[in-house]
Amino acid sequence: MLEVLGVPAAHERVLSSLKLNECCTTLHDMEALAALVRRAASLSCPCPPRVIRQRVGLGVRGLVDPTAVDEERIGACLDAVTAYGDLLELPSRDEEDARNVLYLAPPAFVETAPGIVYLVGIQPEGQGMVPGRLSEMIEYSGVARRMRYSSADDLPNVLKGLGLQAMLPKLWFQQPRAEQPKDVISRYDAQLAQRTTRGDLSGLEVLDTSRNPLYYRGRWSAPGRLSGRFVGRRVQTYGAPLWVYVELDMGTPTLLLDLHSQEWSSCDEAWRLQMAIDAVNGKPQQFRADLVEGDKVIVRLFSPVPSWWQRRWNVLGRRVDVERCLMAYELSLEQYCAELTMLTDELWLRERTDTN
Amino acid sequence: MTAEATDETASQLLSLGEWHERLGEHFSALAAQRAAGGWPVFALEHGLELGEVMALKQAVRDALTIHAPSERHFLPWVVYAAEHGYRFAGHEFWPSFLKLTPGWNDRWRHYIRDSFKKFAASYYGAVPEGIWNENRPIISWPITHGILPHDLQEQLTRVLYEVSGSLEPWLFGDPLALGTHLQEEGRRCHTSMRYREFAEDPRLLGHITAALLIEEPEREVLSKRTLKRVVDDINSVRASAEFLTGARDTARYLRLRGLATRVDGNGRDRDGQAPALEIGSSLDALRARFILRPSADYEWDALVELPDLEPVARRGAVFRADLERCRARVDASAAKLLARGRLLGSGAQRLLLSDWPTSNAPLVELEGGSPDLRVLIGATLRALNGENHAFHVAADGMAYQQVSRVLRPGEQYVILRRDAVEKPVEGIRKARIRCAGIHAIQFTVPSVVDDLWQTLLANLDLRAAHSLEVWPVGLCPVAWDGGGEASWLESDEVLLGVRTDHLVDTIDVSLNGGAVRSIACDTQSSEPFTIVSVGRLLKGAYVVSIRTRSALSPSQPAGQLCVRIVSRLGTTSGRSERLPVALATYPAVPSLEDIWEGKMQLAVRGPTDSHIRCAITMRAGKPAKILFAKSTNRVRLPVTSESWDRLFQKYVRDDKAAGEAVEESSELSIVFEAGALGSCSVRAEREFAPLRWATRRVNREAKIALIDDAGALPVRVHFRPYERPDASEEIALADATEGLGCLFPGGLLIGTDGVRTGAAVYVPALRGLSQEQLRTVPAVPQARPEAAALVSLLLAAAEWQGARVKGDGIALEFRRRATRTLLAEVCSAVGGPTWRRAEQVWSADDSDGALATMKQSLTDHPDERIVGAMIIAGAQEWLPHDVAARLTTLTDGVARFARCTKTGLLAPMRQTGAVPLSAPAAHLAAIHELCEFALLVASSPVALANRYTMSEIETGLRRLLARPFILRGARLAVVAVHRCGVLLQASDALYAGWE
Repeated sequence: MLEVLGVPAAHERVLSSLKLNECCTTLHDMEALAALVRRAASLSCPCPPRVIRQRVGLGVRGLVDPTAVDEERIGACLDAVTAYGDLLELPSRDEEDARNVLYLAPPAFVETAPGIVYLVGIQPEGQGMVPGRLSEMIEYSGVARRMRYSSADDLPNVLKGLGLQAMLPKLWFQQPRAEQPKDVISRYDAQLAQRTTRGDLSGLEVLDTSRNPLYYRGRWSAPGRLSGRFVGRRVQTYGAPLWVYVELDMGTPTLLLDLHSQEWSSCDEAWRLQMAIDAVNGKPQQFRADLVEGDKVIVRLFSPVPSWWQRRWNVLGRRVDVERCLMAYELSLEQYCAELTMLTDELWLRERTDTN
Repeated sequence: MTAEATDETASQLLSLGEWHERLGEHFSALAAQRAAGGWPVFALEHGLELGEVMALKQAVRDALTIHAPSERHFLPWVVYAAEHGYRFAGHEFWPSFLKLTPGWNDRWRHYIRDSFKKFAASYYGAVPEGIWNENRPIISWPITHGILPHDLQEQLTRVLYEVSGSLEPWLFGDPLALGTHLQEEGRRCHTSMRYREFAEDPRLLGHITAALLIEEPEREVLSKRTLKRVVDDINSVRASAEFLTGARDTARYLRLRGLATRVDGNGRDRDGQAPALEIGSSLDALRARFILRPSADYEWDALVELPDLEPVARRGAVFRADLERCRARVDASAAKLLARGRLLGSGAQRLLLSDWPTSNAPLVELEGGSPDLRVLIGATLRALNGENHAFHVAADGMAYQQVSRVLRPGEQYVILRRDAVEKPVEGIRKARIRCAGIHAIQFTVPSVVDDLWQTLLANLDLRAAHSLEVWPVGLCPVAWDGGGEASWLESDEVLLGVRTDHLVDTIDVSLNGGAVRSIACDTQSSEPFTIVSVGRLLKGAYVVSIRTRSALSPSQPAGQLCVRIVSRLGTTSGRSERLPVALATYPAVPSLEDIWEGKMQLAVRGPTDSHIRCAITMRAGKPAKILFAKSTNRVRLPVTSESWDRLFQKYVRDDKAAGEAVEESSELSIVFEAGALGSCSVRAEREFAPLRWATRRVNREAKIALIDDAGALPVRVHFRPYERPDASEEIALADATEGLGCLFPGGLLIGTDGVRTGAAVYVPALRGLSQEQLRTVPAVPQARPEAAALVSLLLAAAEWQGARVKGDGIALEFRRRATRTLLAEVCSAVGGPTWRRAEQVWSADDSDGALATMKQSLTDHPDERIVGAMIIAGAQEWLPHDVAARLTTLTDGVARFARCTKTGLLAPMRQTGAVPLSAPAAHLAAIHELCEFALLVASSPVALANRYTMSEIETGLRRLLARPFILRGARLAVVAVHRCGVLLQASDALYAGWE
């Protein structure tokens, strides 16, 4: 039974275990990475994101090109799985520990259109989302999992019978009402003004608004001698970093607002607020759209967009791996045209063309 | 006309005798076939088409209009009853049987049992077994022969799907073992009470399961037509069909694996590889795991991960019941007390440690439970042994306890020590650990371990290894300690990555000391890793040994990896610690009555500051009709047992509509909905006790009737009126089964056949109770201070306290009042005239003033007054449930200050069989025992009756009559805690804080 495997054979075995032979050729694919993330989460949660990143990283060590699938890429995949709704980042259940950790989202499905359901959430203990025969109906597309069915199948009722919760599309796609960027900032400024001074905060990083919005990771910086109001993160030794809105005076925090609400995840709040800040500063975040294969558009994004938006585009199109951007989606030309106004009006993004 | 139609028409004309003959031929042939294989015949395997079944039923009914059931024609009756068993929905077998069988007389119940017995004897028929059969010796026959009643099909398929991962190939050949395995595994699936009772016959369960799961059996275990009928009914509900398909897929895979891995005469399988090692018992893998979680740089929190105690629960029904019932105390943890049932069925749990536990000391102590279980838990879950412990800092940032004393170069470690290292040498840093009683140092083992480091490590009883790295590849394993142990799920292929940091010729790998596989290492290879597949292994423990070889250097590193293959835990119930909202209840499967009467304890935990809504629904009938539904406002998590009691009281019990609905309902469900965080639920069915009381309307008049599903022994019925809860009058059984009308305020009805008892406090539901009716109080004549008389009062109190409530919602309060009245009389009779007056004041108004009166009446003696002060002071601190502390305080006070214990030495009431004590020590033990007895007398007659025999109760009362101060002290403790408890929370208990 002991057998030495070459890397391609090992890929094939792992993909077979994940039931992904049909849609993936290697573990480098987004679908495969997302499945490994879900498996690690299923056996590790509640835990901070780092635990899942490391466990997936350990599993692919020796199997993938470490420059192509590094911790950053696994982290991006984990973020995408979380944004899709499979994982929930929440304060710990233990009263003595207020740190944020990842929980499995309860297994659920969303009927986005007649005949199509999207599966959301993760079954604990490595259990498949649905039993054997049904699991063969699952289509994997980026981080999304969907099932198509005919009206005779009555799949939603079957899924309910299997213990999955029916989630309304309006709840899954729920997004804040449209606002002007200055109104968003005013709202957070008002909340920040009510906070007291927090003094020195170790492990604080902020998004430096003066830096190029086309390179998201390069915008993160220590407070240094910065002054003004910034979106930032407070690193916790074990839990997930906490998103904050902070006022700095020569690098020293004077006011601090932890971003968490019952309604939205804290990263969604932070990313949207940063978009508003950039838009008001006259340096809006950007996207780039390229027409490929005649009727498909690859939309490159250079900063993270809120999870409700990612979910929406996971359904309309699919997340793809494209270089020189933070994330990218493939949409049909028709869908892209329909989404364009929302991109500019609700997320205040500006299209980047070769000329700019 | 088709041939089938002709047959059907012909069958309609068959007489009962002809049916008997036809069925006899059929069952004779089937019995001959089955007897060879050892599988029994079921009456549902009659081989009749649907139309023929209808015709047979009609023939039975027609025959009954002419004469009583005949012994000569028992086979049609057996089939008729089995068909009823198959359709049985779990409530009131005989009333529904009567409804479908005009002319049926309950006196003929024995005929049904005798017919099935004859069937079993003549046709190799199945014989019901288990507690279910003992409690229902008649209806167990038709239900068993109904094979898998409709209402259990969905639950069985769900259980099969959830536990299919834990099946082992050999089980498919042994129905009893298969059934026993499913019975044990199924307990964590949150099935209904009715399913659990069904599963109490493991042979039947195994038989049915084998039939359902083995699609191509070597021999027939159930006739094809009957199996098809059952499977068709299962498949009519798609979710059940999917569960069954999933379970069948797993079973097929396992059976194939079983065939492929049959061992040869040398204990090796066909591939020359040894099967799983017998490494001790299944409890070996069950141990507490210590983990360090970083809180800052060089600062750690200590955690202990306690395993799911399901394997312990599988060791016996008593263990399971105790684990569900008893809370666990973890003194070393910050949480201290864990909610009931939390260690069972929700996976492993991590607790923050506030104090480092004593070396090798038990970590978890159950509050109660059998001594065997306590010993087992104490022996299994222990603190780390020794004075220093190595923790490997894993890639995820956590540091995991390492069993091995060998450290790997380049890796980071935290060493926990009892003694602090004041000035660590260079390369080693002091780390802070946020846990009392332990110190830490932290270091990275250098890539090249020089003499100095070897000495340093040796001083810590550690050593460094050559670098041979092995890690799990591909699917994330269930657990990986970063060193020598990893666990995978049974369906996973175990893939390992192997790497050395030096040149070697070959890497030798073997499994369980079997054939060695030598892997030649190509130094020119572009891949610095070797990937080894160990394959898919069956459940168990294995050892993978890896050794490198090099012609240049004979001393090469070798290592072993312990691979554990574990079952997949099914989780379709939606309860898991991995989800944001976690629910635990006690009892694990509560009945509708448990919930209504406040006897279910419940805890819901979720992320800090999150909120849930709770929806409570009562339903009845099929298809279910909603009789009551209510949603609460948003509630902040966590929900504790106390806050749940308040919630249920406010939203449900205080609602008149709920009181009316509960009597008609067959199911009560509670759903906690937390939006995107998910939901969790409790579904409770009405109790299906063999002797029970049920309310019904006869000609618009509310009645209460006794339902006797036992039917084997003569039943006696008596009634205790609410106004005189100690009095008793006999009632004719026929009247009780027919239905009793009852005037307000009702009372306690008890039916017993000497083995089983069904008791209910019944208050007829009225349109609206007047204030005067609400104020109705029971009364008991003054009792003589004699032990025998007081025993009667206590047993009456136990009957009241242990009874279910029926009818009006006020019945709960009336039950409490009656029980308290009886207890107060016992305490008054023992306590003396002054104490009687104090009891009267307390009964009229349980205020602080009344409590002060009781304290005042405790004693005149200044020394003994100290005991009263100790009790009143302690009551504030004892809450919420620290019964042990209350007993200790009372015992201590009595032993030190009570005059009654100063004269003569007491001997214990019970002989424990332990080492004989000296007379003074025995005296102290006897005081402790008497105080415990007194606390039970004063707080819970049911607990008293469960704990002591009649003669022991009489002995105890005699001792208390001689030392009334002890009972007065116990009673003061009970009411003082109750007073504090009532101020803090609503409570349905007889006395708050004494649940």
